Amino acid sequence: MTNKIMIEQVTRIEGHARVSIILNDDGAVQDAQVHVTQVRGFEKFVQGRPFYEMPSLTARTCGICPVSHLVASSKACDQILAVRIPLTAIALRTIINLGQIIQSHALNFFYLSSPDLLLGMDGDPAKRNIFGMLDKYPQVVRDGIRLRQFGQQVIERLANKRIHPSWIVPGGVASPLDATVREQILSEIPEMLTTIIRTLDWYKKSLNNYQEYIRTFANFPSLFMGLVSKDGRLEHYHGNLRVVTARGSILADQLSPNEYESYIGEAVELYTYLKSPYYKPLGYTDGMYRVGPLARLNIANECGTSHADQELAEFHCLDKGAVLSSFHYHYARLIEILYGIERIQQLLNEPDILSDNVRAHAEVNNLEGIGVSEAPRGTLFHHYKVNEDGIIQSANLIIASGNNNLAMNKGVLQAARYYVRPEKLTEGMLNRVEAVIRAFDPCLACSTHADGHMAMQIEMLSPDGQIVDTLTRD
Amino acid sequence: MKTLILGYGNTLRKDDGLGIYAVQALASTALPADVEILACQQLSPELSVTLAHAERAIFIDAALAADGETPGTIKTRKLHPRTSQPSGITHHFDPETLLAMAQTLYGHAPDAILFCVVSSDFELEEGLSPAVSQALPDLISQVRQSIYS
Repeated sequence: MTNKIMIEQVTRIEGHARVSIILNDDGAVQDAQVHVTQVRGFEKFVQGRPFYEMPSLTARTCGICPVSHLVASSKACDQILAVRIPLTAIALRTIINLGQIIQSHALNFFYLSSPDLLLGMDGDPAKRNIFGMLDKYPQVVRDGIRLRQFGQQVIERLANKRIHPSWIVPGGVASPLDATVREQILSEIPEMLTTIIRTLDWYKKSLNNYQEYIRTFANFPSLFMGLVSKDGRLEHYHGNLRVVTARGSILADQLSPNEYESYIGEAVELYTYLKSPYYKPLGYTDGMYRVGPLARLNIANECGTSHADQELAEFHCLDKGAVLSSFHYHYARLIEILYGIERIQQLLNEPDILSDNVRAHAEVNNLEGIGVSEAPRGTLFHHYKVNEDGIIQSANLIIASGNNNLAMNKGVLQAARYYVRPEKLTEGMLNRVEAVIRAFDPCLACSTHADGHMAMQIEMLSPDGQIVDTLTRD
Repeated sequence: MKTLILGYGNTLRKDDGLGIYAVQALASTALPADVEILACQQLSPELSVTLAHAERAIFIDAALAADGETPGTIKTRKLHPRTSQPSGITHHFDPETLLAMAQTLYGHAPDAILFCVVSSDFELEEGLSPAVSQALPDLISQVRQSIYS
């Protein structure tokens, strides 16, 4: 007899998902699946649109990280135009991309995840959220608000709009950087550095409290993939792809994003609309890989900024090879916030950052364009084919969160095997399954914006469909 | 008196965009120098910082019509800091929760008032319904009176 525990209708998310935990005849967890039940359809409805609309169109994929889509899309459009955009435009696109990474990481760590970390996974759900943090940890809340605000203001000051800005365009950016804006951002850097260093300090000291989660939250061997510079440095805007094994050795290096189809496959599973990308040379599912902050720090030789490099060296000591536990996505996010702040400072101090030369202009010169960048959640691919009039014939998007689909499913299974006691379902068990998903920071769970609280219902069913047990969280 | 006017809502959901249209209209009128206008799609925790620096706050939003309410009706109520946010969803902070965050985190919450226009049309469209559109000039007038009172 097989029993199945369903987490139905994970509500208040961008889109829909549910989790099923399948038990074997002995009542042990046999399998777990994350079902993404929503279809967005962007790859279809952009067909017939002019290519230069793609940045604005695809930015609407997400309200949390539209800048990521603007960057990847504009890079694809740059290839259609066959232009090399001005160096100042590259720097400005990099700055705004880092601003988004800072605000997105701050959102996940401070608003969504720290209530679990500081108030406890078994804390009262009514208080295990940012409001419950107000009285006990006001400084943490203030720090999160300030860091998120800084990232948002970088975007708004550069692009004149916080969400879905239209400043990143094919060929570069729409306008140069204003000197006053540069000074405003630079003036806030010292405060931001103090804030993130303070956060890293308390977080590292508290790591001993999370040893069980470190062991059990999607902690398994996998490949790791992301962009690196020519010399293997952490990279979010440009560069080529590197794939690293669980042992920490480089499996493939300087892979051209233009040839992604030769090494990235996309499998379809019947239980979800989210595709499962995998590293083709190793096949499906051995080619499972992870992307995002944990992966980026695993693959990078160095960050290239002073404080972040110190933190990276310490981070690399967590494991003998690659750092494997997905719980350490939290730690990696904090290091990336630190790096983002330092790198923005470096770029704003470059001599040509105020140059007026920020856009290249051309007509359609290629019938295909591929743009790859690092979004907060991982590597993002935009691939367009156009006709001679620049009208989109086809589009393929590999979304950052999608890259982690296989690993996220495996992580949920691992957590379910460790924490689920089918004879008695508890709210704390639910929260731990959520916390594994939240560690990956996918757009699904992240868009609930529910701090440690997703509405869920779990039903344990017998093979004949009888409800054996039910647990509901409103 | 430093006044913050916050209009919020989604302009792609018909009358839900009322707050945005209202502050855009206000911004085109003559206002005292110490009035700051913000338009945002949703209220978020970061706004608690801005609120804490204001002496007075005016929130503008659309409101779902309750039984018996006529679309286009303008309602006002004073707001007070309140820490209860039942669902804990950061997508849907309400003004009272923001005021409470400002008070708790930064030691100050401004005097605050909410202007609502009642509506029953939140379809996936741009633009205001006729009833709410007709109420907009009166809403602007009432908000301006509030600023100068």
